[in-house]
Amino acid sequence: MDAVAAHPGLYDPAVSEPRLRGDRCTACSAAAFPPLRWGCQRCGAPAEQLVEDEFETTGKLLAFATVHRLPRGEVPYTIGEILLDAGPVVRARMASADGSGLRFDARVRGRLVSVGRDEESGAELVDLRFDQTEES
Amino acid sequence: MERPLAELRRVYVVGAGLHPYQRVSETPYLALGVRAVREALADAGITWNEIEAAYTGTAVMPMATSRLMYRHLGATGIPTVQVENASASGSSAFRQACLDVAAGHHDIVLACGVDKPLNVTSPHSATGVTDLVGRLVFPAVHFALLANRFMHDHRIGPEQLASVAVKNHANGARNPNAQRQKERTLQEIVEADPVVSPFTRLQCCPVGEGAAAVVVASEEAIKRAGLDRSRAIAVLSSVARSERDYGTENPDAALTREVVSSALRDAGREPRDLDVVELHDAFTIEELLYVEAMGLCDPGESAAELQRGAFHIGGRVAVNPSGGLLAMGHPIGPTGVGQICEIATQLRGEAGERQHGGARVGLAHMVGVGAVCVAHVLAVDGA
Repeated sequence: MDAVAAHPGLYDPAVSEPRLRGDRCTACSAAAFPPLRWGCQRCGAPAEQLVEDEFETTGKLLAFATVHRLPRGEVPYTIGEILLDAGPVVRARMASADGSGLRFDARVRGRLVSVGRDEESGAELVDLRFDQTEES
Repeated sequence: MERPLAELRRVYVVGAGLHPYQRVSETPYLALGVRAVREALADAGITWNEIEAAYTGTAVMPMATSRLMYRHLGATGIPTVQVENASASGSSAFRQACLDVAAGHHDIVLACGVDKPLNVTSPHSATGVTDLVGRLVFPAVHFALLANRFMHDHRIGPEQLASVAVKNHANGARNPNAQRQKERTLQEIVEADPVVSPFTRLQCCPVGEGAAAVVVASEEAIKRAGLDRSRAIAVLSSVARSERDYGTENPDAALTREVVSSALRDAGREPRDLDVVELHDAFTIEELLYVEAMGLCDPGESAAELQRGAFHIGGRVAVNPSGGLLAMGHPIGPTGVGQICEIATQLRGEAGERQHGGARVGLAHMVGVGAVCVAHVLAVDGA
């Protein structure tokens, strides 16, 4: 059975290092993730001028924060703010759940990891986690 | 083209009242709101019959709450409306009241903030736009990301950050309307339960319930109704903006800088003219970010200036003398109106043991998720 994406539509769950599915404005060339779809935030161009685009997950770790306490849900987890080489700034989960070893401005890349089973289909559920890469 | 408030008819705060901020309880919102309004009316020395319109700041209650509350003061038939602008709902209700009077449409208007979490909604999920994190990024996480970057860039340690909460809890301990009225040591703040690094529980504002109300009036109304002119506080400017695309720049600091610089310019003031500032300190880091963005100190100097006592009551400029969101609390709708109550009280010299001596000019600042930002400059008449 094929793997299912924890965030359907935002990446291809079938490849280990997928690209992020966003869009690009043909009027001002601004790249966006998640896709803006209904109109461009930078120049106001309408939906027809936004085209689907895919971005490599490589980028720079601008900031990170580790959540220790939640009313419900699993802790700890660490959120990273990443400036993608393609332009957009995205927030995503870091592979390091407690944030250990993370450094500001480190080079990072996303990859899919197994995060459990899809409740409906029973298929493997995969999601993106970001890691620091060797070059940093 | 925008015409600043200062170019319209002069508006004054003539009355202020509060229902203490508190943990969520069985108290109906009617009881919260009606008490704050009656206090504001008594403070102004007017009756409900003289109020010509009412704006209600509320963000986490069902629709149509205004009329159902105000009828308990007498169903006078005045226009009422709810103003929802996330955490800046109360500030926005106050702004609408000021614009109403400044435009000459009404003479005496009420701005009331009232809330209790009866209908909490999630704005980002309502858009249908999904991202990679969803509800895993809540406000504390958003500000923790900003905090960690800011602390890294300016070499600020966790204890320097926690000092904001020490100051604001000490101020709240002198405020009978504050939800948190207990002084806290640096050690207590730092060692409280961790929520999101670098914030412990006592570096995050409590979200409860409460109400705040202010009466605003024109010069003519003050004369006609024979109100106490010496206690009237002038509203010099009102500015509201929403977030632009700031690239990788800190968006909350950038938005605050835009709004506060406009509010000061419209008021004909400089940052150094401010004696008291109530700002959006939902999390400790925000006070450091915003005092810098407002120009109350040089970039990167906020933690050192706080350490020197610059932002304490009696310091260079008292920041969050009420206790701020961290100690007075953040019941959402009331918060921005409560800031106006505090500034009016300080500028009247009626703040008792938390009085900042010689306070003549004050600024109120709120940020709301979205993001939006609202600021007002108030002054003793003639200051």
